[in-house]
Amino acid sequence: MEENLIVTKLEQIFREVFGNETLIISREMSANDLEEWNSLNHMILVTEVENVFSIKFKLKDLNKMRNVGDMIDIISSKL
Amino acid sequence: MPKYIIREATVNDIDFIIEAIIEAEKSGSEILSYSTVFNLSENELRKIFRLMLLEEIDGCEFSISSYLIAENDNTIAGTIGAWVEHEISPSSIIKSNLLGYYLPKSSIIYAALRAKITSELHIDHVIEALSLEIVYIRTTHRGNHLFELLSDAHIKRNKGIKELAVQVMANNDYAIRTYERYGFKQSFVIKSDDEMIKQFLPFNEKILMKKTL
Repeated sequence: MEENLIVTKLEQIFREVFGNETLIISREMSANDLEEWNSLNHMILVTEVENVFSIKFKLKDLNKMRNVGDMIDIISSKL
Repeated sequence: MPKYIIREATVNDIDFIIEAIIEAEKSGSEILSYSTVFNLSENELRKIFRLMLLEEIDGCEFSISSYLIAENDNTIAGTIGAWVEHEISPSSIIKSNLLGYYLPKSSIIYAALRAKITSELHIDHVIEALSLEIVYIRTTHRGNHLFELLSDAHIKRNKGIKELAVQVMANNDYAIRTYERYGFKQSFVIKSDDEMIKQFLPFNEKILMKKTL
């Protein structure tokens, strides 16, 4: 799957999880940039990403994710 | 006054660390927020917490490396779980990665449906401060200045830190008095007027306290 398609799908997930229909994601965006990106929403986000892309993250994948860019790269490696 | 030694926690302390996490979360009440938020029994959570702690991932309350243990005559008396919060690796994300990995998906969905209520008392950790997250002294050892001993030891092993932070439920008078005696001052108070919140959390008001070194 091409990165721009991953970004489009991911952006939709972010908008639903964080309740913001106009949210634009970037590779540099991290939990520090969104007030709503708390521990519970992070769990929901990861679960939704796994469902939508039909993938399963390993714990080491999750711990490597520092920002949206890392998330895109790990999703890409699993597709 | 009993003589205590303070040491780093090891994997052999897991049972006590789990007890500390559960008792600290209950904050003197019978409500365990992990249980109410994720719809799991305390026994189910104990098993999950054990698996999380055995991962030995640093930087949150489910990290063995966060804990210092106070012992008297080879008996554990208390512990404080603490770490320095860094912007690049928020403890909340480290914790939720562990929880999300081990919790049943049904629990995450259950929590998601109630997220609006439970997130009302969320207070961010203070960046670059030493966060004292889990504070638990067994009742028979209270009044023996173990909070001070353990906090001093945490400060010593985190050289260069300039600030301590602790979050406490506003009805936990004993803990608040203990923190104030040590030099903490109330920095921020958050309260929820949602009547439902006391079904999920021990109280509807939380305080962030800070101490500058």
